[in-house]
Amino acid sequence: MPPFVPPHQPGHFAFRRFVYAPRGLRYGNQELSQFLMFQEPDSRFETRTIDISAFGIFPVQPRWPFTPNTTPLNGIVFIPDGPGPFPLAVFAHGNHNPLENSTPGYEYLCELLASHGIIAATIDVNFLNGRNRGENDARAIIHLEHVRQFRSWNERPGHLLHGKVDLSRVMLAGHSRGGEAVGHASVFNTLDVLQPDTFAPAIPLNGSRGLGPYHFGIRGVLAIAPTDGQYVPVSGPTAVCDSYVVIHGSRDGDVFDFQGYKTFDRGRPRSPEFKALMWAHQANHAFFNRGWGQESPVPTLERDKQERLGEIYVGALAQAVLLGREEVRALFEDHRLAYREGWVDKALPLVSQFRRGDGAPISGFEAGDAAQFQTDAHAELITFDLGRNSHLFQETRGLRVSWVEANRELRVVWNAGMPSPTGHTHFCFRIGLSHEAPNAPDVPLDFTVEIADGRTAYRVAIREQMELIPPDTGRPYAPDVEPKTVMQTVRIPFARLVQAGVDPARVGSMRLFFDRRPKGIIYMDDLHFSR
Amino acid sequence: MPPTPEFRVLAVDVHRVEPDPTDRSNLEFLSQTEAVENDVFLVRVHTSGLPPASPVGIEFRLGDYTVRKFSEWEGGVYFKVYNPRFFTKHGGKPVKVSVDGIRFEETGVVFPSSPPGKAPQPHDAARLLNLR
Repeated sequence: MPPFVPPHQPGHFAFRRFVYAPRGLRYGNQELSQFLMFQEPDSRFETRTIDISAFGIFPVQPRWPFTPNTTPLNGIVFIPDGPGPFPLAVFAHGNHNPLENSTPGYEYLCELLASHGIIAATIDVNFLNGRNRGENDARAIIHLEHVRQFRSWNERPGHLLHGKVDLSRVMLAGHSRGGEAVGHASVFNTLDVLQPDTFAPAIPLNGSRGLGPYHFGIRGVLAIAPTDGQYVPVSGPTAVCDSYVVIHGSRDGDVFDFQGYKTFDRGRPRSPEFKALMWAHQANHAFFNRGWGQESPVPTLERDKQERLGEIYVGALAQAVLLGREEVRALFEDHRLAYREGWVDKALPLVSQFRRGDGAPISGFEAGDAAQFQTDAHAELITFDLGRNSHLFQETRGLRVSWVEANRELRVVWNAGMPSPTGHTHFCFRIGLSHEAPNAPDVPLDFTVEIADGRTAYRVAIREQMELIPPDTGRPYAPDVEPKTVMQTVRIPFARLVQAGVDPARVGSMRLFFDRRPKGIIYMDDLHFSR
Repeated sequence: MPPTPEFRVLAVDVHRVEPDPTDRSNLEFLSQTEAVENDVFLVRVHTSGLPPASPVGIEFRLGDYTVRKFSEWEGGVYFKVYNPRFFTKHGGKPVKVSVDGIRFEETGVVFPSSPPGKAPQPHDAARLLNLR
């Protein structure tokens, strides 16, 4: 394996760029001039058209030179030099002015991945853009059909990509509505038949109608500032089953309500895969795509800094799940790796969550939960969804704890050994601050966390374990949209407990002792053991 | 995306149209459980000042019912209805719109209570959407 290169820095592979498309496309209309690049694809990379009419229809404007029945597979691919086989990453844009070609906006990310030995493509879904809604199933199908195109080239003797594409190592990445679509694609990838809507019949995905089969080895799904729930499968809201990472900016002027938090909460990664979240203060919606202009009405992170964030997280996920770089997987467990390594300026606040699929839940504060809580502060179990313009817009229940006098406490108690910590290495939970009084804006909160086994307790100030950052109060949208409360995952190694004389196998309680600030409000969820 | 105050819903009209192949497939599927007809209903929402294409986009409700799937034509947006009972169920309800998913504003337009009656020749959807 080549020496490790930080995820945002170019790797050692030279690479080449190719445009791929079906033969004979003619964008004769002047308003479609940005798509002329697809008129003359490299002759070695001619593709086919697919019929997506069962899933989506194009907005009437602009007049595309094709129909949903003849949807072209257009894209730009970057291929590393060498014998391969190389893993594959495919990026998709989201909704934007359909006359502006959104596809090239992720070339900078494709180049980065190609330099690390990953075939990386950015695809054309512009024909689905416009003032429409509910078409994200079609975006997902198109995304998977592009992967299938690469499988076709991989299997074609004599083709430049013959034997070079490792379909067991695939990453899907999408931005905005494309970010929602990759979640659907994660699920569709497992299906042989799909009923897109209640009013429509099931569509075979086994190749008999020109779509599928899929069943690719998707190792990672990356959602950049995604929407959520614009398309809802007949079976219910999508729960991503692959390793899933969502990144989102606090000053997103479009998807201002952090809809991907809901997708994240619903995610059920198979063991031993994971889901992770990175909430970047000051980042906007558009700057992850190099071609999109500022959308946020408030000051945001500069474009180059936001692109760097994109490179770090895209590069890290690709290196972790496609190249098996365990050293960079740690970024998802704890974002402070990026500070320590100097990848991100420490002045830029980040919040992160991490959850392995094989973690052992202690309490998610859901109905039927075995854990109980006791407090002399004020605590209530609530659903963390108070509406899109509220500070809580999730799909989980959790604890809201407030105190107005010092030395109050909250204790969560469960039967020691239930679940067993065997095989795990960390005690974990997620916890966050809201903008609500008496929390002070821009002032981190501090209190003592105590984990006990009935005889001995391990105590640590939360600030020493993981700083809880107050919400970004630079409102991205409108005065009545509240700054988001985004919890931070706290992972306490068993080694620390053992050093303090605590036996992880006998741990049966956690206490939050509010001894360091006289008043405050916190939100907490998802106590669990994890590796 | 900030709200665009000039965005307005002007009217809703409904046309009985000839099904396209996808519609036929859907009608055949629905006919197993519902009383559908041989035609489909094209609902055109006439608007002015549609906001730019954006991730969140616009949302439509008929009363409390959310229209989950619609597309754009040059006069506004449109969607198709397969079962005439849809009009019984949602007819007379106020058409509401949102450009941010938070604030749904009444447009003053009411969704029609009944679909157009059967005609010897249904309309051509492509012509109604200015596709031809």
